[in-house]
Amino acid sequence: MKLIILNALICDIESELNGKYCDLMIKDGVLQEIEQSKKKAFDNSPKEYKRFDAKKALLSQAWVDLFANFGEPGLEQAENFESGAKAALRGGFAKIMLSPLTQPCRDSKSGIQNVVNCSEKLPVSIYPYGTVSVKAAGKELSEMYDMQLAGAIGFTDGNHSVENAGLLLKALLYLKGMNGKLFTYSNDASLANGQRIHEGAQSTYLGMKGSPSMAEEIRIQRDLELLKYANGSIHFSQISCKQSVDIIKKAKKQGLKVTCDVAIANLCFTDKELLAYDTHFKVIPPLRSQSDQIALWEALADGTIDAIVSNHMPIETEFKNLEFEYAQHGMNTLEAFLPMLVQSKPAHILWENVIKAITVNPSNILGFDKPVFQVGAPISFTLFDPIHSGQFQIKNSKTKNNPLHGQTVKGNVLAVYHKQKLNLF
Amino acid sequence: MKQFSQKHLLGIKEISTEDIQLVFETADNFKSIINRPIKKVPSLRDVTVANVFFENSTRTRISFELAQKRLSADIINFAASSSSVSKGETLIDTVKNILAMKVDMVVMRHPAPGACVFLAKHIDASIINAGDGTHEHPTQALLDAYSIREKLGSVKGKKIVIVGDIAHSRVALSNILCLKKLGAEVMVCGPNTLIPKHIASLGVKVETDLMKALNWCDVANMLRIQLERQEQNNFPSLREYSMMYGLNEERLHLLNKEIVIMHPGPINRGVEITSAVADSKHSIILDQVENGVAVRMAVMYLLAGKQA
Repeated sequence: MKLIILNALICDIESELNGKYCDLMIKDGVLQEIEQSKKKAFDNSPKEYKRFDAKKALLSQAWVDLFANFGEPGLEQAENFESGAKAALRGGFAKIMLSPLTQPCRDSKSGIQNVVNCSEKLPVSIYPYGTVSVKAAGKELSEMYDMQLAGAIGFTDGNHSVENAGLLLKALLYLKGMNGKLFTYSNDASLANGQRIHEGAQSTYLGMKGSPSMAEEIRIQRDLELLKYANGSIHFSQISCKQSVDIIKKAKKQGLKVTCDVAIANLCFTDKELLAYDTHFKVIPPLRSQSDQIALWEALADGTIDAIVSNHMPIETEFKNLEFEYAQHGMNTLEAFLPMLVQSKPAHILWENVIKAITVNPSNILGFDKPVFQVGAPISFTLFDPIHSGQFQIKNSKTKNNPLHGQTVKGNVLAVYHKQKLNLF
Repeated sequence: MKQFSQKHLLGIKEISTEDIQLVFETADNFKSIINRPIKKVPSLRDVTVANVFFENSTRTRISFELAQKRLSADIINFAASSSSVSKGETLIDTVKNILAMKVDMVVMRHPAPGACVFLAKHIDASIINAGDGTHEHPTQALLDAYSIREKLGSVKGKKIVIVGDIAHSRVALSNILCLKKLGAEVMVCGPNTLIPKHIASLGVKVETDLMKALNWCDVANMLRIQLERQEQNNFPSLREYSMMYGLNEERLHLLNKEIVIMHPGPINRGVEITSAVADSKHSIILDQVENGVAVRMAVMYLLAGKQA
């Protein structure tokens, strides 16, 4: 496909064209030319080039999501590869890393191969994580090398935090030997009271036992000690509180190979939303306090937090529209991702700093080729408008469990170019 | 005529101080009525009330039922174990089915905090929360405050300590909210394992020494130890709990003043309170039970008026 994009505001902190309006010429997935916008740009280009005026919208590298849940296999009624991929694309994403917590969970080669095979025919690229332990049960190591050969991008037990310190240490040591990446979610279940809600004034007022920040903090502290012993690398998934930020910042200063991410829901909302027991806001990790939310944004700006993940969790209404106690955890976030960002981003944090956390940084963590706007290099991009206001509807995902569904919001993704195809919305 | 501000009674947090005063004034009338030879009034004739209990209850259910009978309401009782949810039918379906038979008011007890708030979003009938998990039990708080008012003249400025399992108690939360709205000073007392870490955010004092608490207070509300709602052992044994937090005559004698003793029932005699104290002149436990009927009559009467 031959394509010319005009008047796009480049949003890429690593590019010298960042913050400049540019015109791009693309042929078969490769950037042919990029230059600052001018009148009659590429006027003499051959007719077969399709021209698209970006009308000053922001153009960044195509977005990468480090963690999303699609239900396939086992929970296809909530999301299958196809619906999930369409939702991801509509949300601005081109590459999605999939949680292994399906039914059955992806703890062996066949589950991994299934994702790899299906990825080809989808408009986005999907990549599977394999589990660290068999059935993500935290008891014995799964065949991670076999899964890596089959295409597993990394290893995680999803939101099952690995309880057994000995097992996590073995996973760190083992993965180091095969150059594999460990992603771990931090939660000490014995302290977390079922992770219904963050422990604080709000949980007390609502008469619910809460999960203290300490439940996350203690597990991160432990895992950092294991990391030092193993001298490996670790990625903390979906950190949610200020204390975790502080610990990880310190560990990074010490030179430990640590990266981490935050879920969009924790950036966007706080436990204040739970006043009416709205189950949309029942998520893992729980929505924390406002000071945690502020700390998360600051950590994102200063680079302590490397990535933002969707932690997309589609849940059918039958399992969400229940008493708070019985409703399932999770929020459907892929399509709502940009509106959620726009709604919560502090004004002093620049878009290029935010976008870095869904482009360059996750690519680095996963070991993908660094995405660059460079003539002769392959290109995938996301074109988005953070100012556009309109009614938001989840249209592609199979479920609607997002509080912004049906609301008037700001932020719209205009196009995603990936796999040599321009997807316009 | 003054009107109740809410369509439901989901919790104390949703109602105003004026609402509480209105309940008390209305309950005064009903209390005099239920002490007459003819105790029944036609106030709720043609009003059908469903008592929907997803959790066991004896005294609250009887108190509501008696209040409904005194008001001439038509009553249906529905008791289901909380596991019926997992058996298939959802709360909304269960209640909508009952409402399809033209029911005007629902009194609900449920093990999940916020269950009544959730239900109120989905149905039209008035809902009275008869206890939702560890969240609220507003009629209990109203009858407790009413009983204090009756005994001491008013609630404002009084010092009330709530002793025991604060963390698992809906009575504690509703009582705190209600007493604070009425201008009382509130303290909670118990082992730290049974006190939510952030309880001070509700504007209450926290004390772990029972004697200090008793010396401070005008009224001691002794809560029942909720063994059924504890996921983990929060204290080693009932014996030891009783040693530390049980109210007995000896402790009362050590005080240089008289205090009022309350208990929401059912009492674990010999655990949080000894028989001698429970049955003493300081105790208003049975007044609370009597007032429970009057207060619940008042709440249903006011909500029915709101509906009409």
